[in-house]
Amino acid sequence: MDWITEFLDELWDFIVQSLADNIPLIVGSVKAVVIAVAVMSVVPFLVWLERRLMGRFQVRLGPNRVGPFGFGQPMADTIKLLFKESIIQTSADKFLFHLAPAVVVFTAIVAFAVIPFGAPFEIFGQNIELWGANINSGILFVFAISGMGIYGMVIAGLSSNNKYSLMGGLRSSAQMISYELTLGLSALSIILLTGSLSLVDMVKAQETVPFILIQPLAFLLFFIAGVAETNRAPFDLPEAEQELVAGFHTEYTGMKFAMFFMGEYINMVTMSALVTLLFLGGWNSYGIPVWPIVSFAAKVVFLLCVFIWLRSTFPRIRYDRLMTFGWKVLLPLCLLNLLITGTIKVM
Amino acid sequence: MIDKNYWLGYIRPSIYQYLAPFTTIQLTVYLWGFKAGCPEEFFRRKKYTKTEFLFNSFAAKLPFLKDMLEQYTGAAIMLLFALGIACGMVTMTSLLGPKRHFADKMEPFECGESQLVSPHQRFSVKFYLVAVLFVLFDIEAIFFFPWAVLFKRLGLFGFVEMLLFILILGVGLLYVWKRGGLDWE
Repeated sequence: MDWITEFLDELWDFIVQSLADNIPLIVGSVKAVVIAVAVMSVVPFLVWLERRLMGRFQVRLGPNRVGPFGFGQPMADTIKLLFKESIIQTSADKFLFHLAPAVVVFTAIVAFAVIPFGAPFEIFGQNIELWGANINSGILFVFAISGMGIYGMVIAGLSSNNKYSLMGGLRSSAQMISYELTLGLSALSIILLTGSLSLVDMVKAQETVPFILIQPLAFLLFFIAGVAETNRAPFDLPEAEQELVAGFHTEYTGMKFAMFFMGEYINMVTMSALVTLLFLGGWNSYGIPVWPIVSFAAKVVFLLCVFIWLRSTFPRIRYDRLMTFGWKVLLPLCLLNLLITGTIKVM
Repeated sequence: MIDKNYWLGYIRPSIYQYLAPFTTIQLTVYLWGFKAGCPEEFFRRKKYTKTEFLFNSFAAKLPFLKDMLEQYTGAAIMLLFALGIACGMVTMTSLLGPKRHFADKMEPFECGESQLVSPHQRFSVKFYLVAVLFVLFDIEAIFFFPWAVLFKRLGLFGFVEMLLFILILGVGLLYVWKRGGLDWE
């Protein structure tokens, strides 16, 4: 029997040793799973918030039957959509048709990996940092991954073999690449002030004063471009219900239809978090005694409410005006802002 | 009816052509980063293969590279998880729902009519123009990023250089503007 105990001892040693050696990896895995699940469970809450707030804006009640204050409504909708038939019309390209919603959800979740949402703290002798990955070029990572989300919409538009979908796909590609320029250039003045591409460093640089007070124009440009990037009203032309019957996702049914909305809402959260990190001081609370994570969450929820507020206030703008606004107003303003910031910084 | 041959022969290969190399390179880089992000002890208990040995010695010589790859470990785990969720959801909805097919239901949506013409027709050249302009301006914008990071170190020299660059960019924008490249009619 000796060899069995010896073998078990050795096995136990091996397991303990390899666990101890790989603590950063294990902590990283758990964190990644927790963050991904948390981000996905924000979506039903956000849908509920939007429907309730829209109801109030339009002087009606909004959903209030399922659960307290209608809180169970998005859950019920999700379950219903999951058990709906997924129709693929015969002339569609099957593989690309399945690929498109997967790309949208995938890029939306991955882009959130580098968003830090609180100051690091210590537990069980381990330093836990509240971010999926602290990449020293974090902001470029977010731009790169969320830029890949365009592929999802274009593939959806092309593979559906439907003229409304194709129009929606084309519109979304042109709109998103135009406003991505503004997004990158307006974030540039913040990079110029901090001298770093890391989102954590940007929050640390705002410990005394948030950048919205120093860079109000950049904040405005970034937020407008962010609304356009997430395809929200008043820039929701790719999915204009009245003219394009929902645009690039006309042909989608069931859960695949819901996945586009999941992607859109996760992108909304990412964009709000990004605005908070770059301009509103991240988790710094400026003298108000709250936990860093509460301060961060409060700012994000406020920005999400602004998103919904914009949707219920403004009518959809015309496509030519959208493109003209992006290229003739926002882009020159971005360059001007960069020029002014550089001049002040160098003096 | 839709000209299916046109669709298969013309549009589809072009999409694959652009997507396939991009995703392959991306995945390879991430998987590589995941493996290298583990501490060296991860390989201790087993004999090194030649490739692993070469890779480890390479990584040891370049702490900068190893540091970078370690940063991406979290992102790589998140990426795998997101991949699982996205594929799982698409598969699940195909399996769970009912399947009641008949010919009329499987036609593309056209407000109750049957589709008269193929959707794959000519569209406005403006979309193409916007794409080209985006590529131009975005590549120019990328040059700003290293400049902004190193702004303090470059000092007045860097500022003047970038002033000239913005001037050239501005002239380009002005030219496109005056030629009507930004107008939508």
